[in-house]
Amino acid sequence: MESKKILIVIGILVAVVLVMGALIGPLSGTIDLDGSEEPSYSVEDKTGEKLEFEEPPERIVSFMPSNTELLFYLEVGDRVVGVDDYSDYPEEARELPNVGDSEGVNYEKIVDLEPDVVVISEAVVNMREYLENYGLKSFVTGGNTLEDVYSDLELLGEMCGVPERGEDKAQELRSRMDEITEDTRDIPEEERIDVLYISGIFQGINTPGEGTFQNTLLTDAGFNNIASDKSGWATISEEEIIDRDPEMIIAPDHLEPQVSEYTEKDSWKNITAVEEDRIHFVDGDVISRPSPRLVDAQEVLVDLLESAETTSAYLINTWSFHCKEEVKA
Amino acid sequence: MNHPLKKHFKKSLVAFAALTLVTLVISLSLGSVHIPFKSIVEILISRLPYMGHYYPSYPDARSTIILYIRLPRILLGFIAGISLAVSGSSMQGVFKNPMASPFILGVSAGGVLGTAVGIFFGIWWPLLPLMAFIFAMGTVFTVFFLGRVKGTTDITTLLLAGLAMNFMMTALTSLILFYSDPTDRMSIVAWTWGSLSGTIWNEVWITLTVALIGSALVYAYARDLNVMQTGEISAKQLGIDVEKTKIIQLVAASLLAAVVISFTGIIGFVGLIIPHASRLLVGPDHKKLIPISALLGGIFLVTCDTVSRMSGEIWVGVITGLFGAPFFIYLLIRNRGETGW
Amino acid sequence: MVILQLEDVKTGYTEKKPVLKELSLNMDNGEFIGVVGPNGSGKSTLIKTITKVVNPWEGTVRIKGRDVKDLSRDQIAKIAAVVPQDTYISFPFSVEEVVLMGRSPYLGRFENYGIEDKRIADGSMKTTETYRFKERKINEISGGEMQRVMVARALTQEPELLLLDEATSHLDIGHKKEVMDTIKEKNREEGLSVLSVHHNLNLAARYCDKILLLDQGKKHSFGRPEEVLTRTNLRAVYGIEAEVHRHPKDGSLYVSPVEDNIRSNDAAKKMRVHVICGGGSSKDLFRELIKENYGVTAGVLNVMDSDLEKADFLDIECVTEAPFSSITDRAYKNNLDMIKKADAVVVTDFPVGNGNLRNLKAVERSVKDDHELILISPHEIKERDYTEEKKAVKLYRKLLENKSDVATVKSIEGCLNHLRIMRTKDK
Repeated sequence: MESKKILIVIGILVAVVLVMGALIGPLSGTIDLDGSEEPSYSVEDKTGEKLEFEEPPERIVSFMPSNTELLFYLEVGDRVVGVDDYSDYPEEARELPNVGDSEGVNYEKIVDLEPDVVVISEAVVNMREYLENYGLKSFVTGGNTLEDVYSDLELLGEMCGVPERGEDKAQELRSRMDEITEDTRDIPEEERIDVLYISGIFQGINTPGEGTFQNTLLTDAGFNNIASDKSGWATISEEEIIDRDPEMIIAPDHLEPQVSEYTEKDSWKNITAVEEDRIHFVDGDVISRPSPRLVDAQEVLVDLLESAETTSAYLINTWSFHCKEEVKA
Repeated sequence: MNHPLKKHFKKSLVAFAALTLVTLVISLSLGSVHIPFKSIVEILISRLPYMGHYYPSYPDARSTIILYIRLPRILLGFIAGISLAVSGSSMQGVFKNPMASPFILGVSAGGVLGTAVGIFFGIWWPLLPLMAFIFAMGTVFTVFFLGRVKGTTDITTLLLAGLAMNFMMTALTSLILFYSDPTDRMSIVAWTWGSLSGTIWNEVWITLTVALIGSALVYAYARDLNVMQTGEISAKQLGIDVEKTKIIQLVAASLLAAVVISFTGIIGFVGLIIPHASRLLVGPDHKKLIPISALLGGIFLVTCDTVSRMSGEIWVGVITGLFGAPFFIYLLIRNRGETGW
Repeated sequence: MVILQLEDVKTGYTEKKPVLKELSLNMDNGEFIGVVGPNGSGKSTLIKTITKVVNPWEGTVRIKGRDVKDLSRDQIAKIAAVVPQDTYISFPFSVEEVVLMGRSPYLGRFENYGIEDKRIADGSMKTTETYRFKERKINEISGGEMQRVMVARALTQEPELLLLDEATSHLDIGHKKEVMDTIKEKNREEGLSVLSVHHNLNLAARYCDKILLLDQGKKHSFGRPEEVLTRTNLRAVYGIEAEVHRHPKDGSLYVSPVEDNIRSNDAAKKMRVHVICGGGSSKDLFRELIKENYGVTAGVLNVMDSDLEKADFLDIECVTEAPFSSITDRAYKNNLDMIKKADAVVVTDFPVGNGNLRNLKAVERSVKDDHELILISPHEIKERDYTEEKKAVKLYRKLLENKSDVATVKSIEGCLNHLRIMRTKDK
């Protein structure tokens, strides 16, 4: 039938055009960034992409609150010309122009700020293609572990032309961490307090497992994370929780209502943490962002451990008991 | 209602074309960043003729915003509006029913499922439009296959098959939603409401090509569609190849819709309402209906997208719905009791 | 020249259930052929087969000597045009737009209607008297006007063969005549060949040169109306008893239900009521009379009058007259006889014209004193008197003056009441 042939031909043509278009699209950098000058240095970001710079970037847009905190900690905050809507720390960041959030990126604003580089994270890595389209470089931070946070700092330092400062600052963080967890890092396993950290509630209870910075914080704080046998940010069932019987439950403050719904259940009545009312809420921003303030989070966790009523011979003997107040960052 | 523009068709066409230009220009000058009109004109003129690649040492920010952010998006909005309106006109003609929309054969349900599958399995995201397109057209061809009765395409059977596939695709999509994590869910849901943000030039070229081919096909068989309104047997006896017309119209209309939604997600109401409004203005002759619908559709969608852009990127499908539904109700009330549309 | 030829055509819609079986037909240029037959005899399938909407399983269909298998739809449409029985259009096209569709077979894919096309369309509309509302929407015109538009569209195809698929079935008698007259004129003056499928035998008989009588998909008989429409044939194919008459004026044939039979009506035993009516004025009088067990007769009624159809349906004996004809002497006499045999005569408020004035005269002549005479709404006669010199008014006046106990009632109900009173009085 004549019309069938026409349709088949059209169908094939259209399919070909589409496939080509789909594949070519992101690769056809419509704005070529290569200037006439030779790049003087390059930095590799967390995706393995090599960014080349003739000179250190003077105008930076930071997308993701954790990146903003890293940049300001690196003391290059004066170079930051724009941040995402949720960047609220430090205070100066709030004064900066906003360029949208992960749901709705305002590319017009970003482009208008004429940044030399846009710092984004793995969570919004899709932004890279769009930014390239508009002739903008992007630097991707990421990784789940505490070491990743330190390395982000070092890499950002390299990128900004202050590699030594980056290293120093990273080292600063490491030292502070070591100091805070000095007494609690090496508590033997059998002495540790079992803790459940609830990082989110979505289709069940989410909790950080092996390989996450939150797991590291908990472990270094002297806890035994009941979910450390899981990997990455995982989900734990109610049954598992009841079975593993944590002695303390910690969660970010914005989850308080939802967590309370769970802890008030009859089935949870016999969990030690519930029985002894050791359910603690801490500043969500501080403990969830892969930023320098994790140090403060660590302090809070250590305090929580020390304030635990369960006494352990080891603890009593080896601690110098400081009665600090819970510090909220 | 007496088809006020029927006699002045050519003049109306010119008027709508002028309105299109005005709409495009106004939309170009609106955005998050204020760019004075003079600059816009300078930027546009400096790019004549525009070849797609240019190599400045450091691109001017405003030039980038106009040429790479706003212009492609506005053009895609216009082309998408045309495609959806023409598709809707065609569907309404084939099904002889003013309730038909471009998505009646399952294009949208298939597209959502394709996107959901792609997002869920973490497929390299530039390939998502392709996933959507494949699933969308796959659904249409399945419906076609189911709708063939004794070697002919039976309209009623097609409709039912479309309904059935719609349900199935939607159910499968819901299944995927159930197992997806929050970010993925959000992406999938956002897709069902449509968005023109982040449009790149390649999308414009592809959509333009398909829009031209599809609209040409639909228009080429416009008179056949007219004659078919008096009955399929009658049309056959007037020399019309009814089967061929149906297939070409339905495939062209589905293609038009499928390509658009592959890039933009589902934008509803345009394909349903614009042909209506046009029919009220110029009458049911498809040779007049199709061009007017096309222009009206383009203008409508660009306007909605501009509203979307200025209101914090509310999904454009929501805006078309918010404008479209009350207008539809108004038409309903106004024409109640009058037969025909 | 043979314009249409069917050779042993066998076809249908579902396998193993043929609707047409071994049908052969030769039609010459300029002929007006009617196709009749009971429901299911294959009449409309015939038209669909000619226009290639249905393909023959066996046999060939030839138009102008060429096998339709070798002709494209366009080519067929330029020679043969169909007027369908009814049409439903979903969108409000104008009459002109619909008529112009008849030019489709002549236009290329991207061509638009030209001046010549518009001229042809205008011509067809003028012929069918639809030109004056050519701007109106197709869903705003009446059924009769719609059919004329369909005829106009068919004529716009400039066909050599016109196929009517029960095209006038849904029209009232006036419009039936209009449409058929227009087509007959085209046939006579321009030699347009016409193949017309009819439900109504009399319409076919009146307009067609030849008639094809189909019985269960096969040709039962074919020839001039008087050869085909015989009592025997009608009994064989339709299973009815009918009388065939010749129209007094133009000699055309017409068929009517049989007279002079004693029916289950069994008039002999009951009180006989003779009804003089016409033009639908009997409403449900017949049914009510039969319900109340009267022996009912009626006359004179023209064939195709709706009152006759009602009487027929109830097996009521009638004096009939040819369609569109004035009352002839024969019918007049029969009517007088019927009146004499009746116990009561009811005259409804029928419209009186020159053609049926004799019905009133019959009343005046033969109603005797022992007849009960009931007139329904006689005083409104002025409004329904279409005779010259208002003769009906005068007749009514005479009736009211001469006869002593004429009952005048306002409605069918009143008439029935009066008859009831009469009956009890008799007992």
